[in-house]
Parts: sequence; structure tokens; C-alpha cells
Amino acid sequence: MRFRMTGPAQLMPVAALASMVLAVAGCSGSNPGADAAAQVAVEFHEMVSSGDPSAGCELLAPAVVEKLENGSAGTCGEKLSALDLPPATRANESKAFGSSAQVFLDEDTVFLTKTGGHWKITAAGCTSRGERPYDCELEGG
Amino acid sequence: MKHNPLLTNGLSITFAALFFGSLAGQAFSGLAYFNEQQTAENLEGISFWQYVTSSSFVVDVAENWQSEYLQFLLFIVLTVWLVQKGSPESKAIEDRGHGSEEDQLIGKFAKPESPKWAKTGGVKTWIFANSLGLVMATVFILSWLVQSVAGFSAFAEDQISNLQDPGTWSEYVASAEFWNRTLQNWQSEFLAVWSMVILSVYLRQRGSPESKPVGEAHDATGVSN
Repeated sequence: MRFRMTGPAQLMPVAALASMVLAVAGCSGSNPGADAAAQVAVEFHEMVSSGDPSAGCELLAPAVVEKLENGSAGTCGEKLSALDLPPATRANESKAFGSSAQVFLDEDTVFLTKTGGHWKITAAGCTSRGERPYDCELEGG
Repeated sequence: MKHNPLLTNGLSITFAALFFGSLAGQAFSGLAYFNEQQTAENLEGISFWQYVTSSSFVVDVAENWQSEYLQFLLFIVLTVWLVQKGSPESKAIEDRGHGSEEDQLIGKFAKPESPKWAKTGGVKTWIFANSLGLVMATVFILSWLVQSVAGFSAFAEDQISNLQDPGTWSEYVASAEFWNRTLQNWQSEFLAVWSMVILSVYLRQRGSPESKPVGEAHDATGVSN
């Protein structure tokens, strides 16, 4: 490859494309969806602790509802209230990347996915196991 | 004689078309693959626009860009000093180095039609004299930075969907994932340059400026079509 010197004007498209990709990458990082995810996580805990677990089921991802309803008899709401979920009330930190979010509540860690423009819970009642996946009371298949 | 601009710009037009065609192909095939994986994981598919602005697509583009620009940067800069006997990619052995101002048509040796910054001297001439390498280096660094940011975002998204902590950007740039993505691209670029430099000593492509004339001796250095 013998390269010939090109003028600055001919290099403009290269610089423009590089800045475009940089801008796109900036937008694809941690995003404002983190607040919305935190709100869903708090609402979910409020619903479960206030004795309206069937409303809490509305905030679960389909795979979680499916797993919850499998096996023994009972509705999603009944099985949800039977779980020993910690009574969280406040979000301390929330991280969202693309269609996944992790919310640290005062007494719980909750995982969410974005489905149809809404955040839905994929796991709750989770405790950290270091590098390994969290151990969760409630999770999908 | 005045030529058709399509003819005189054929190389850049062809490669621009190949670039945009390939990028579009990567976007569509990447979207199909991404959505296949989403379906397999019982997750919702995404639209074309969502995909091309996603960290998954951006990291795939950027990791290839950074390695290409690094390859060209090193090749442009190292061939100032390093030579390869018999290769048309190399200068003549005795021409190693920056070259004199007279060789480079700089300052008082500039011709009337020389670019303005080649005549002015000082910082402007230094910048212009190194502008190709500087731009290649800038695009390389920006692309690598984009790879790290988008790569972290994609990695974090995967981690969270696997119920794991996403970590931080600084942890990601020290991670096996980041360096595996980086080095698997670098090795292929360096292999391509290495083979081009050596193969062009012994092999010919008639009419190509990347080759020596067919009948030129194997040990003739700095000669090309």
C-alpha cells in the first residue's frame, strides 16, 4: 500500500464519521432510563407490601410470570405474596444499559428489562454472590 | 486532456461504495442475528434504528475501525525509517528518514503549485508535513475510545441480563473482553501488512501500483508500477 498525501478537505468525511460514531456511542451508554427503572422497582415493592401483589404482577416480565405460575396451583399474585421479598421502599442507585437495568433499593436489588417501551422486572429479592450471578427469590426462566 | 471525474476519482468512489454497502450489510445482518438471540432468550426484538444506535452495533463497527486506522498509522509512520529490501512498499534503503527540505519541497524549495502550508515554514509546515499520520492517529484513538465506551455498555447490558453487576468503564478497559476484542483485530491487521510487505518482494500484480513491474528483480527496492 503506497499512500499518497491527501489534502485536509479530503479527510473531512473521516473526521465527520468518527465524531458521528462518538456521538452515537455517547448516547448508548448509561441512559436516563435508569430513573424510570428505579421508579418501577419502587412501585413493585410498594404494591407487594401494600397487599396488592396482583398489581405487582403487572410489572413483571412475561418469563417471570410464566415461571411463577408454573407448578403448584395459585395465581401470580398469591405466589408473589408467598415469597419472602425484603420490604424495600427507596432506590439508592440505578444503572441502565440498553434494555437492561439494575436497581439498588434500600433493602433489595432488582433487575429489569425494557419490553414494549416499559421496564419490567426480571428478578427481585436478589443478594450478591460476588462475581457469580445474584441469588434471587424471584426470577424468570 | 480533461478526463471524466468518475474516472479520475474511480478508486475513492469504488471504495466509498464498498464501505457504505458493507456497513449497510453489517447493520441488516447484525440486526437479524441480534433479534435471533433476543428470541432465544425470550426477550423482545428491536427495530433497525434501535439496533444501529445500540452499543452492540457501535462496538462492532468501532473495534474494526480502530484496528484499521492503527494499521495505516503504523505503516505510514514506520515506513519513514524502516525499509524492506525488495519490497515495493519500502523506500530505497538509502532513503530512510524524513528526507531533506529539498526532497520534500518544503520552504524555499516549494514549487509555485505546492500547498500553502508547505511554503510557510514553522509549526504550520510541521503540522502539514505530518498531517496524514496525525489524522490517522486521531481517528484511531477516537475509534478505540468509542470501542471502549460502546463495548462497556454492551458488556454491562449482558451482565445485568445475566443477573450480574455491570462493573465500571475503567474495569472494562482492563478486562479480558476488551483486550480480546482489541487484539483479535490487531493481529489480523499486522498479518495483512506483514504478508503484503514480504509477498510483494517475490510476487507481482501486473499494472498495480502496489506491485513492482513484472520483470523487475526480486531485490529491487522502492520500485513500483
